[in-house]
Amino acid sequence: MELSILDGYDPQGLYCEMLRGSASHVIRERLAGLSIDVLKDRAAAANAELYNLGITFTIYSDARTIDRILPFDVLPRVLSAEEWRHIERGIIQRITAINLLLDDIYHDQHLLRDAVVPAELILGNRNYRPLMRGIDLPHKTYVNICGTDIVRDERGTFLVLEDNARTPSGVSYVVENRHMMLRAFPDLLDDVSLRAIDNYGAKLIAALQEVAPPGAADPQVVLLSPGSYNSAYFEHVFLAREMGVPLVEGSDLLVDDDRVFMRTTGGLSRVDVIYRRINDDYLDPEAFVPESMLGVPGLMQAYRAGNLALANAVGTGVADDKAVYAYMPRIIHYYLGEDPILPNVETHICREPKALRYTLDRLTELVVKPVGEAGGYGITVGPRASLQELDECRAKLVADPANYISQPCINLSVAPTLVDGRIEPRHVDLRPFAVTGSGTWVLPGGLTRVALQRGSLVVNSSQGGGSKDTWVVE
Amino acid sequence: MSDVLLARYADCIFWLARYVERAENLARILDVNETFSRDGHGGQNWRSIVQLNSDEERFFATHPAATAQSVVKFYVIDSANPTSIVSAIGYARENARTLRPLISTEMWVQLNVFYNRLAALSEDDLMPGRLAALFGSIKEACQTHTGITEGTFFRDQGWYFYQLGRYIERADQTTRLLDIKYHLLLPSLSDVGSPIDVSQWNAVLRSAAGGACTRPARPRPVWPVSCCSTRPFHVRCIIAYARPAGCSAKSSRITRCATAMPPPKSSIACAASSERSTYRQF
Repeated sequence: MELSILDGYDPQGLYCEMLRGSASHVIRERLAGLSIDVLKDRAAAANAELYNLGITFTIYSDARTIDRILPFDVLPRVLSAEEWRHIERGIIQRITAINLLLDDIYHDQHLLRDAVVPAELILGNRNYRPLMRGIDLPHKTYVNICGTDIVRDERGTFLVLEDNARTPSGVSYVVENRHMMLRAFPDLLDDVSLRAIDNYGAKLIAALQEVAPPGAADPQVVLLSPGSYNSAYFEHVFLAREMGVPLVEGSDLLVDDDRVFMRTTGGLSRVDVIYRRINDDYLDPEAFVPESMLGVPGLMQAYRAGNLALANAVGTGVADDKAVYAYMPRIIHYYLGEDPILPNVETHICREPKALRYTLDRLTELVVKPVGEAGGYGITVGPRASLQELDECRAKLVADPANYISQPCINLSVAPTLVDGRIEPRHVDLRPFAVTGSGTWVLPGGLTRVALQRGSLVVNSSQGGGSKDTWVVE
Repeated sequence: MSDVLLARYADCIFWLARYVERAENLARILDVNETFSRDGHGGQNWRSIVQLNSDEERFFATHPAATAQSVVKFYVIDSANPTSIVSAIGYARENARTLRPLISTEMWVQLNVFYNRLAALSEDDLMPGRLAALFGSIKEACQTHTGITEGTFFRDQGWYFYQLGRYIERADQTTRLLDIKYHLLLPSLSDVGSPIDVSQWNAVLRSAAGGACTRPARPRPVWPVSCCSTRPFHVRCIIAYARPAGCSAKSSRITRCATAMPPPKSSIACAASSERSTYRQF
């Protein structure tokens, strides 16, 4: 009897996706027939192929360009149909609430009048766009593409960590990882019924055409990219190809008489829907940052005139703000009368006196985050902080409680991962992608990111993260 | 997408084709010089390649003399030189990267792998005994590119722009080659028909992929007029290909561009490129 490659594997008491997941016996049985050497060889071949295929993000240094792949771990992460149904329902619920929230705050602001969320938190947010007030969007859909970051705690409960409602990236890796898996491990996938993910492009363009301005008979959709120097350019190409639409840059577009056109060999050609991979700030130098070379002057005029659909809509950033996140369970309840299907990570809103007292009493156990910062700045991790750091944190909290939230430390679930020729547990998260036109559809599975450093909880690609194929087994 | 082509894409397709064609021509010229021009005029032969590309100023700013070693390095692996093969394929790849929504994965992967291979070359790979194989592999990679393109490119407007770029570059290269041979290599009338003259015309023919296949059809001494019009690198032949491409692109600007190349006369040097030093980054 051959030894399984998982025989020496020890998840060290953490929740393991492979050992505890109800559907992962499918993959465990198949892995039993593979030796670690075969696994290593095929993993090396798969990563080399990603490089050749140019499935890379590009780093530009002084003199040369460096193409990096997002390291691909060949051991898939498996979700059962029941687990997926739960996640899918939770995401649809959440996006429905987010779209209702956005429509409300740019129209009548019932939520603020009923004091569910403090008004200054919304209206004073730097991602709140006053020029969106009073604009009626088709199907009241603001967030057409959403990537919700989900983690799993020690007990296996799925929790939402972050709503990415602006321009979430990573979906190209979901599809490319599956293709790579099919090429490198056809034997692992033999006779396994996986939910297909090939129809993402078809679902996306259908949703984008649904939100086209009324009157556009056969709406022309384009994808607007900052250009081939952008680190996510591979994904922009992928999406344009999958949808069969032109991949444009700002200089390809112009606005005339509040209508948007692209420059083609046959002259100007009308554009109805733009899936933009450019932040609000750079979309239109006339409306936002005047120095922007990436955007199109006059775009917002065309948008306000109802001659153009933008996906995602302008001003969605207010919904994925850290401070607003803390109120999301209440927001879901306010608009839908339901409890959240996917809970938040327990979050204490320090602007509320009770939560502030709780936070100050348990500073050594909690993570304290400023709400206005991004990228991990200003975070105090209680269990790892020095006495001095804790004192500083305490002083800041007392001085400006409204600027902080606190959360317990979550021990993310792990999955067996091939590292340096051995199988070791590594922390993972999950980013499913949801597409919304008139209704919401969620791509089965999503992007599983894995922290390749031992003990690290950081899964970001910029900080040594990799990714795994994510299976939803029937 | 066939009826709507972004103007920027048309530009990228045109230049993608030009850069690959340019790299192939350059590899052929260097290969021929390396293999067949090692004679008493060696120094002049290598210098003529620098002149062919109008690179004298830049080349001699950093190199004291045009030797086999310095010229080959300058034109194969010097990524600081925009007219090197590695630069041409690098620009072709950047254009292909922009064009990825339009081109096949095979086209992209082949160029990506090709470029990565060229970028990894060092001076060791340019040792005399290895050069013929290297040039052979570069030419083959360029021809693989055109083969994949022929097999997978949509026959829409983009195809015409590809053809246009390819043939204009070829016409440019051929006329430069003839120009250099006529004016620079053999300045004296009394040398016409001499052994060295014949050997240089042979090198020209080989540079333009015409060596072996021309002679059976023309069992006479090699001579300028024997650059017969059915050969793929013949200027008249090239213009004949390019003109319908320009017309089909339905753009008067393009047609003008295609016909801007002077028609070939029996005086061979006349068509010396109207587009000297045309290279852009991408």
